[in-house]
Order: sequence, then C-alpha cells, then structure tokens
Amino acid sequence: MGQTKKKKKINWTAWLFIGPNYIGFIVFILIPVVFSLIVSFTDFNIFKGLSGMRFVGFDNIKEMFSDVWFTSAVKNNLLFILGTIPVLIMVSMVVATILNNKVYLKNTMRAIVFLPYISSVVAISVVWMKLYNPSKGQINQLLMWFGMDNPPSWLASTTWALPALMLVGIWMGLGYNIVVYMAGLQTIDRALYESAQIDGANGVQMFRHITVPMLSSTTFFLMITNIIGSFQTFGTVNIMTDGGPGKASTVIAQYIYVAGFRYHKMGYAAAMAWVLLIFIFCITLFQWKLQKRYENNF
Amino acid sequence: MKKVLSVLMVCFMIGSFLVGCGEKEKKNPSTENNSGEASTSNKDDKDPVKLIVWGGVPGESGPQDLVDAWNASHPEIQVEYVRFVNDDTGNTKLDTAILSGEQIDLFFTYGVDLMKKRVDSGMLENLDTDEITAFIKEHIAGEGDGMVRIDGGLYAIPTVREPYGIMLNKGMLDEAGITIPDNWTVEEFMDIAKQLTTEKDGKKVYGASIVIQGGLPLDISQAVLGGDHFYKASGDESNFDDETFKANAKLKELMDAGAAMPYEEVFSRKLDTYAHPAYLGSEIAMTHFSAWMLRYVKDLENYPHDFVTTFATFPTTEKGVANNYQAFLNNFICMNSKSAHKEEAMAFMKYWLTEGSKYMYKAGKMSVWKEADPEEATKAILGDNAEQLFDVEAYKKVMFNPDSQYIIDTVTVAYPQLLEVYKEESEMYFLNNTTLEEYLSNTKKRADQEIKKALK
Repeated sequence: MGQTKKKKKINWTAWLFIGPNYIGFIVFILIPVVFSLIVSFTDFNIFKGLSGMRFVGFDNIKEMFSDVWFTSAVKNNLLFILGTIPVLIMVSMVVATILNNKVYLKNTMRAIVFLPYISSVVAISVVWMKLYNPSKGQINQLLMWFGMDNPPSWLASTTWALPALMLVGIWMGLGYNIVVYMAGLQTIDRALYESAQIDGANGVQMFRHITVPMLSSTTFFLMITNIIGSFQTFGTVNIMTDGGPGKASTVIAQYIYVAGFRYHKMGYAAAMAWVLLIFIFCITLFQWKLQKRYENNF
Repeated sequence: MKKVLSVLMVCFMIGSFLVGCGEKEKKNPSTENNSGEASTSNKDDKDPVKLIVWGGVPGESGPQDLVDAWNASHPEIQVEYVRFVNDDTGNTKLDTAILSGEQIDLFFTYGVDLMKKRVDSGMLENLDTDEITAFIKEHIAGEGDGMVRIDGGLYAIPTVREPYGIMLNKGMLDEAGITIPDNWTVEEFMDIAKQLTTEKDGKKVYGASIVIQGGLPLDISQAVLGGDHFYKASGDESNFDDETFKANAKLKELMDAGAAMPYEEVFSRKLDTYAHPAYLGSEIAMTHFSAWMLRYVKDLENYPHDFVTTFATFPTTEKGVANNYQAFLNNFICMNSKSAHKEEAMAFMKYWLTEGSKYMYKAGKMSVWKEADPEEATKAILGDNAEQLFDVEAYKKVMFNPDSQYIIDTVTVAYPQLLEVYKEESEMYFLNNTTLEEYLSNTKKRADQEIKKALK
C-alpha cells in the first residue's frame, strides 16, 4: 500500500520535470501536426482563416496526381536521391578512413570538410551561383581553359540544373557524413586490422573486408538520415533556380512552399506534406527491414 | 527538502515558460482591440496613430519624402514606410508578414495575378464604397475607367499611369545609321536587332534582350489585343493559339541568330525581370522599359555610361495592325482587410493618390491624379541632366502617345497559373527543349487544363 503511494509521488515529480518540455512539444509540434492533417482534407486558405474552410475529402490527394508540377517534383526528388546518396556514402567513407589514419594536417582537413555543413545555405547558394555562371563562372572558365568549347550552362540548362544542385548537395553533406563515419571507425576493434595485417592483407583489402562490413550499421543510419534530408531539400533550389528552368529542378519541399505561400493553397500544401511523410515513412520501414535481414546474416 | 526544492524549481520553470507565451500573446497586434476604439482620430489624444505602409519602391527614391511631408503636416497620424523587393520572394515575404498578424495597414501590389491571389485570400479590403467612388470621380484621371475589378469588386486603386515601350542606345543606333521607323513591325525590330549586334572592345554586344517578366518573351500580343489577351472572349478557354502569340514566339529567332542575349545568360544573371544592368553596361542595344526604370539610367554612380537613351513604341505584328495597348494603370495601393486603422489608412491613401504623388515623380511614377502636371512629372522623371542622358522628344512621343490605351484585365480565372504555365513553356522553348509547334500547343493545352480546374 505504502509502495503505491510512494510510486505516485515519484511519478508526480517526474511529470513536473518533463512538463515544460512536454508542453512545448504539444504546443509547437503535436498540435500543428494534427492541425496540418485536418487541413490536408480541406481547401484551407490561411488568409481567410478557419471560417472560410471547406471540407474537400480526398480532392487534394486526387489533384496531386494530375498536377504536373507535383509529379515532376517527385521525379526530380527521386533522381536527386539516386544521384547524391551513393556518392555521398562512398566518398565520405573513404575520406573518413583516410582522415582516421595518420595524415598530415589531419585536424585542419577535418575542419575544412565540416565547414560547408555548418555554413549558411544562402551564402553557399550565392557562391555556387557565381561559380556556375555559364560565361563568367570559374567552373566554365576552367573547362574552357582545358579546351572544352561548349561547357554546360549549369543552372540555366534543363539538363544540367538538377545535377548542378546535386553537386552542391553532396558538397554540403560530406562533412556530417564524414564525422559520423569517423565516430563509427573508432568502435572497430584494432585487433581485427592487426590480425589481417599478419595474414598479409593490404590496405584496400582491409577496407573492403573489415571497414565496410563493420560500418554497416553506421551506413544504414546515414542512408536513412540522408534520404530524409534529400526529401527536405529546399534552400539551395529556392535560391539558385526556384525550380527552373521550366520544371527542371522543382523538388517536393520547394513545391509545397510555392503552393502554400505563393498560391495560398495551404490545404493542398499540407496534403502534399503528408504524402511526403508517408513516402519517407515507407522508405524508412523498408530500410529497417533490410537492415534486420542483413544483420541476421552475420 | 530536496524534493520540495526540485518541485519548486520545476514550477518556476513552467511558470516562466507560460509567461513567455503570454508575452508573445501581448505583442501580437492581431489580438488588439479591433473595434475601432483603438484607432481614435481624436487630436487631443497624446499618442498619434501609427500606420505602416509597405511598397516596392526604395524609400530614398520618393516614398520617404512623401511620408515625411505627410508626417510633418499630420502629427496625429504618423506613417512608417517599409520597402520590400517586388519579386516572388519579396511578395511572399509581404504575404507572410500580413498572415502572421504583423501590422501592415496599406501595401502595394504590382500585378493583376498577385492582386487576384490576394483577393482570393481575403487580404484586401473592398474599396467599393460611395465615398471612394466619389473620390475617384473627383480626383482620378479617367474617373475610374480602366481600373481592375476582381469578381466585380474594387480592391485596389492604381496610383500611376505606366506607359511602356522600348529603350535604345542612341549611340549604337547612330553608329549603324539606323532610324526607327514609325509603327515598326516585329520583322523590322528583328532586322534592326541583327544590325545592332556587334563586338565592342572584344565584348559581344547583343542587339536586344527579348525576355521580360521572369521568363516571358516580349509581349507583342498584349500590345495588339489589350487586356485579357490570355483568354478567348468567352473567358473559359485560353487564347494561346492566337496568331499574335506566334509573333511573341518568333522573337526567339533572334536568340538563335546570336542577336539577342541567350536565355542561359539571362537566367543565370537574373536579367529576366529587369535587363537594365546589361543595357546600361552596353551589353545589349535595346530592351523593354517602363518609366520607373529610368531611375537606373539616371544613377550614374552604380551604372556609369556615356550614351544617350532614346525611345520607341512596341513593334506590332505586321504593317497596318494597330497595337495601341501600351500602357497600364499600375502600382495598386491596397488596404489590409485586417487593419485596425482603416479610417486613417484611407486618409493617407487619398494623400498618396493626390497631393503626395509629386514626391514619386523622381522614381519615374506618373500620377493618376487629375491635377498632376505632365510637364513637371517629365522634368522630375528625367532628372537634372536630362539632355545628356535622354532623347527627351522621343520620350514624350512614347509617353504621351495620343493613341495609347490602357490594358485592362477583367478575366482572372486561374491567372497566376496561366502566367506560370506560359513562363515555363517559354523557358523550355528558349532553351531549345521544345519546337515552336510543341511550345504553342503545350502552352494552350496546359492553360486550358488550369482554367478547367479553376472553374470546377
């Protein structure tokens, strides 16, 4: 009897401690999330307020699939993921392995690769826009110097705008991926490398047969966070191309913004945001399943 | 004791968190008393009413002088002017500020597509009152003719008359021995652009820039057809299969011939809305213009140049076809429907439209006020050293063209979407991703779909 009383007291104190955070979560996250779900079934226009809201059922979802802007955005987003994530994972794993060993100026190099991750997206976008300028940009000047007559016009080309944005995405994400991989590398038992060395394995073999498999859980983690991050690509696209030329570089997050804030169709924008959430959720579930199977094979 | 302390601390934390929320609540003007009592116009009141006005013209180009003059003579209503950049991002910023309940009593809208969106969103106060109708009749040139009405209501009053045309580098014209024929056609425009394309000091000079409004071709069609040129007369179908749109599309041949600045360069240098930096840097010989652009021509500090700028009307599709629609009523002043000081805002709006309009001349704004003096406006618009910078006679010919008529848009079904479709398809065409036939038929098809969707 006394036991339960005591328990209740402890719970009360615990609630008080998590209270502030909980209230913050409810007010700033839970209520808006639930509200956005409700809104996604209406034609809510933020300026008209709640009184002007009409329930439209699944019309927003139906409209999405006949909306060329949305379908292009989804297509571009998938291309963006296919183009950036494998490169990110491979390059960051190799660079992390190199930086983890004894290299000259190790700390400086670490700082340099991490810098883009903490820099302002706006500043990065403006600098890359200058680099990508078709006639005066340093990238094309260099290509012309190497003898290329007609270098791509990058952001102003329907073919090259998306790859150009991918490159910026990769460059921005490298730092974070490398740091996470370096943390993962710390957990690998040195003894494995030593015994491999005694067996006569060279650096490449050790990387292939020890580093890569031992880092698999880190890789899965990074895959998930990178895919989620790619689906949320917004800043660079918004500043550098605004989804253009034509619809060549429209991505989902940017189109949600345009629909919500430029066309004032908040209900439609919320519905797209929820479709995006379901997308990401499914992909994450699929990856978890894969990971479980992969780990069971070990 | 420890427990009591910890509980006290937690209570304090929660308390401070809630106080924080309360503070925010207090600062939000939308929760202020909206009954009109807050907005007293009682002169004995110690606190003057404060109005906030957002506009796209930089403060130093005129609006600040206007506001200062008002504030000096109206101690009971003090106005603050905030500048926003009139592009997509700037307009989104304005919308979001209004949405978040920030105090904005009056603001400017610079296009019918935006006005339509804002009316649909309930942001604009309907100004269709007897008081305003009488005011317009008494003070505004045209007495209300040519004003845009959305769904039958008057939601904004244009503050300026805005003829537009082509501005040309007179030095380059003289060098090539070219005079611009009266009522020139697209063919003649293209010929002249090709003749003006040269190399100067190792730098390529393009004859023209043919991109406007964020990615559209020069709109010859609008000059011929006037308002609603995106729509068939019935209003439920788009008009992109009209012959005049072929004339717009034809201009791309200049890009192909290297006589107009290529779209890649226009896009990456963001010259698709305003090409004046390239024009004043002698990289292009002619570009479209509106009077407000002349403030950059006068700005020799940022745009140093030593040539005279001359002017011409827009070309027409072919000889004998009238193209008199070369002026807008624009710079619409709007009232925020949620303003807590509507009466005061109305008083200031009237001032901006009448007495105050003279302060806007130097920004290139020709007033719609009946009593505005065109000579004085021209003097202020062209500045002190007009003769060195401008061909004043040519300017007057374009600006005070007696045949000129206003472009009045009355149909606004899916207008923002149509503009977006036309822009995207034009971009694809400029970048050689589509053929001429594909371009025109895609634009027509997609525009029709958007109209259908909106009429559902």
